[in-house]
Amino acid sequence: MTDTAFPGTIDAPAGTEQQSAELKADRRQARRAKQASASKQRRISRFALAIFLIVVSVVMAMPFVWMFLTSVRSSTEIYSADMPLWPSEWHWENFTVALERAPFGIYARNSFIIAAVHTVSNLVLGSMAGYALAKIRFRGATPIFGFILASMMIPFYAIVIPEFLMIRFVPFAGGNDLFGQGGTGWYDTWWALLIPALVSPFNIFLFRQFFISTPTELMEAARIDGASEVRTFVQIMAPLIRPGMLTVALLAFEAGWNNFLWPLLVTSSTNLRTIQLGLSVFRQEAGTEFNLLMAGTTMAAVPMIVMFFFFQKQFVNGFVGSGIK
Amino acid sequence: MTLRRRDFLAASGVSLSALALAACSGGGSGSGGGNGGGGGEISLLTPEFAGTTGKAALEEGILDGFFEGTDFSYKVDYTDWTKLNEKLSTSVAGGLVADMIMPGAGWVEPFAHKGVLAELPESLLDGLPVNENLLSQCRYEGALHALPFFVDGRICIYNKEMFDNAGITEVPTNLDDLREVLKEVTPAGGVGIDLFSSNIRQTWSHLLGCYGGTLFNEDGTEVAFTDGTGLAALQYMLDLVADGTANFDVKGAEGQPRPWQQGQAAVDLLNSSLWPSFTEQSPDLVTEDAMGMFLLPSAEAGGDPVMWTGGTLLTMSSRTENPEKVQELLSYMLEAEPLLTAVTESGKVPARTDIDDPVVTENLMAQYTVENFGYATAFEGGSPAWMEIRGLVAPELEAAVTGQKTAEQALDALAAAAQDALSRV
Amino acid sequence: MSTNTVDRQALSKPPARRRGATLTQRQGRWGLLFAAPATVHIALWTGLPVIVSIILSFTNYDMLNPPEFSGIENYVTLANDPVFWKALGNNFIMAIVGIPISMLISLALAVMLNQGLRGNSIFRTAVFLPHVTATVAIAMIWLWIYSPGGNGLFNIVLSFFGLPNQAFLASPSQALASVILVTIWQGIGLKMMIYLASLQGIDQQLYEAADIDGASAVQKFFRITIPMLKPVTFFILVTSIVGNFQTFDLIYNLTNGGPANSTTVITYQIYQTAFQQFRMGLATAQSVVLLVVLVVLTIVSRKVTGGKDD
Repeated sequence: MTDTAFPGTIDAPAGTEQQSAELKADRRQARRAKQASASKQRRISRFALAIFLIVVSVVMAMPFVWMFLTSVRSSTEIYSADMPLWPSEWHWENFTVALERAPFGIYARNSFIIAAVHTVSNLVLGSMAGYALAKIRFRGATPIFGFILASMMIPFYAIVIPEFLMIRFVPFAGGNDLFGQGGTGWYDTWWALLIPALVSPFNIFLFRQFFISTPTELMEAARIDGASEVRTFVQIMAPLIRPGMLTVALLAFEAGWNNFLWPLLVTSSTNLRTIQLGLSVFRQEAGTEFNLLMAGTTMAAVPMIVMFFFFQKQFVNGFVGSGIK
Repeated sequence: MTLRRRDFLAASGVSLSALALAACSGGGSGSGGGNGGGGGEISLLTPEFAGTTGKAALEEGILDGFFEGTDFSYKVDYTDWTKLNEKLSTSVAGGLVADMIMPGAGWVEPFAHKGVLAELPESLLDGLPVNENLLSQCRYEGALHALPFFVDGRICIYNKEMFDNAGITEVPTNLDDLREVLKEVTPAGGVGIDLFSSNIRQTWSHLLGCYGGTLFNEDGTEVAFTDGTGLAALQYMLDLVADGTANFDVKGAEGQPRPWQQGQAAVDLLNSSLWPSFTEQSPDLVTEDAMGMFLLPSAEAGGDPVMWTGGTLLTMSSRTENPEKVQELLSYMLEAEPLLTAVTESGKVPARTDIDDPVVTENLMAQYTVENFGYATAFEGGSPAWMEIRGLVAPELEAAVTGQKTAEQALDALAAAAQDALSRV
Repeated sequence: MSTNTVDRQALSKPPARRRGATLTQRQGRWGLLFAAPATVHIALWTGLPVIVSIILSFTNYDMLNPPEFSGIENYVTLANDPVFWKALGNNFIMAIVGIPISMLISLALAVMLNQGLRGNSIFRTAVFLPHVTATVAIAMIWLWIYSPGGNGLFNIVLSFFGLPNQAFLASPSQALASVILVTIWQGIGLKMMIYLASLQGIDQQLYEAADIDGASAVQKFFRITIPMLKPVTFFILVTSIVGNFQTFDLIYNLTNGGPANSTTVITYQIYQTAFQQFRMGLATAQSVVLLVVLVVLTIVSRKVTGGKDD
């Protein structure tokens, strides 16, 4: 088994091999024997670790697997007294049936637009603020950081009414006058879906935390070289936290994608509704169509899982190629 | 920098004043869009008709027939029952109330009290074959504020085989009788009656009706369940639990089969709206041969049985700019054909008693509910204060059922909360 | 936030400070410029609503009629409301039990996953799955797992070992523990990812230097890894506390706060008060209390995780 992801362990043998070219053959052999036994031991512990991680993964993923298994069951099977753990028949048509129950194409497009815009805005605005709070000393930094921290602590339900009123009474929008009267403001528009969550305090906090662990020397060196503040940020500092960027991107995308209550409140048109809202079609008062709900939820989750899987690689590679060494 | 700060201050100033205006005017600016004279847009807010088929049923099946050839157009805002509260409160606060709203029972009094719902002329009821019992949840201070559209009846269904095996041939005629019957029919490891899969608050208010009690007095100004009926209803639940014929732990999780469907309960106290899912999931159990039905009997021997009803109502916003048109629409929706379309889609029970279609007649639970509208005397609401205590009822009842509190303590807490809420109305 | 929150490392470097007033001033200006867009946005869309909420907490406001000033009446009501105290207590129990367990598990997993095993990305995805799945679906799956009758997954397992069925979410004494288990399961993924990103951000030269000094793996873990993870631990702790006190969707879909209020939490109370009882003034007072509690807890956790961020 070769190391690929732990740079420390790659570098150490590489260094010793260079030196070993000058060593005598017997010493080399002795070293090899020693290394072999050590690596055997390591292999065993790695094997145990792998087994353990597989068990953990199965436990963590089990409810998801069950969700998927439920999504292909017939409704009779779900409601039979002794439902087999493994579906007796695979009803793939549940997925197409689920898709026909609501305009999921439109919903998915809307969720995607919201998620994409919020990802970009969080990355740009959040990293700028996080960088300033972590690396630049300026008047107001302390109160701003305190304010950001405090903002994280507001439960959504506490501010939903004022926030809704702001959307509805935006001046000069949707037929409103200067005082927000006369029209409907941003109600039932894209602005209402996009603007309030452009940047989340949580992500600013996250960015700040990532920037704190970057070496300040690089920033200073860039300044001494005469780089502008913007260039220092964009070309020197921001690339250092590429893994952090990806974390935030993922979280922001996910938050946008899974948005539920807000889109319901600020829209009334079907073509502004989002995918999570569409799923409620399977959960009616008269009973929940569990298999269809799970089929829908699986489909809603798959883009996130695929994206996460994709980010995994970027995460590791992006890090190895970055400037932190 | 200073510019920025000033911008920010200006921006927040404008928003603050907008908020202040909003709060003070209570959204009095109305819903805009309408243009007084002929024509305009009628907006609807509905927690029903979800999804592609629901939308098609409502818009193509019902609304198109009404709006075609008029100067009016319509716009439907679909939500679901669990989020109707939020949707309605935000739109009320923002002054964007839909012209027509479809709330549930218990909503009429508080929203009528606060002037969101308009009073409707009694003439809308002329010639409408709707049982007077269903109208109690549509009136506030005696005045009509809503029309019943579809109804859910709370009925008991039983497994005939289990009853036969226990030698029970007659359905119980009073609550004591029911209690004895349940002891006979309880299957091993199961319960005689599934009291807890359905909403415990509604079960209690149903039993309250069996004891002849109501939540509030006639005009909704005083608590009425404190006259001993509320306590008796709760005590009955506790007695069944003590008998082992009802069990708080035996209940169906959402999306899972109910104990009755799994043969773990002989009787299920359920909503008639479960019919479509039961026929799909356990078709063998809901045939006329396998399933019998009865209403919760009266506490007193010889008394009338009691059916609890909830429902989806049709109401009109008091801020609508086209009240005549909306009233026309309400009447239209209760005509036989649009109502049948709606019932076909929802699987619920039509409020009219004269719908003869197989959709209703072959739906055993719906048919049974329609036949028993005369006994539909229990329902929720009855006071503008109901909304406030609605959420407090279940925890108190659960505390009593699980032995955290005595029945008296639970009822006292509820009574205190209800008094408090009434004092604020 | 009484202490200076700007990174000490950044500030104490002599060159940056001693290069003369103009540079520092210029930097300060840029700092403000960088921070301004996000700050203004949050001030507008969170700060302003919060101010409105705080004002509303001193009123009776039913969202239908204009608010009426009522002084501290709402706060008096809360102080005398046993259910509110119960909710607050449940929040604390969830935080005290759930957060340390999930942080330890996620740190352990992050360290393990950082060993560069093959199939790493599959493990990570598996652990992260609960985080990307909609809470409604998660709640419904766990409802089935906890189902109190014989068809619940846990009860099937229990009866396999000859143990009696448990009520789980239906029992006032087991419901909160059952909910906490779900929050742990749901929260591990994100915490682990943040730990992992942070582990990978540790300068490898530190480990190489330690190798040369002959440090053992355990020594390296406690002397290098743990101290280097301090800022991120503070971050995870604070966000976990905040997340824990904001748990809503899960409670709403799993238990509705029941049975008998045994799993009710402040956010659920806020929701109920605002949107079921239409007492927005009282609900905002509850939010203000929550905010105060969280601010206090954040200050405390800064002290616990070592105060300064460096």
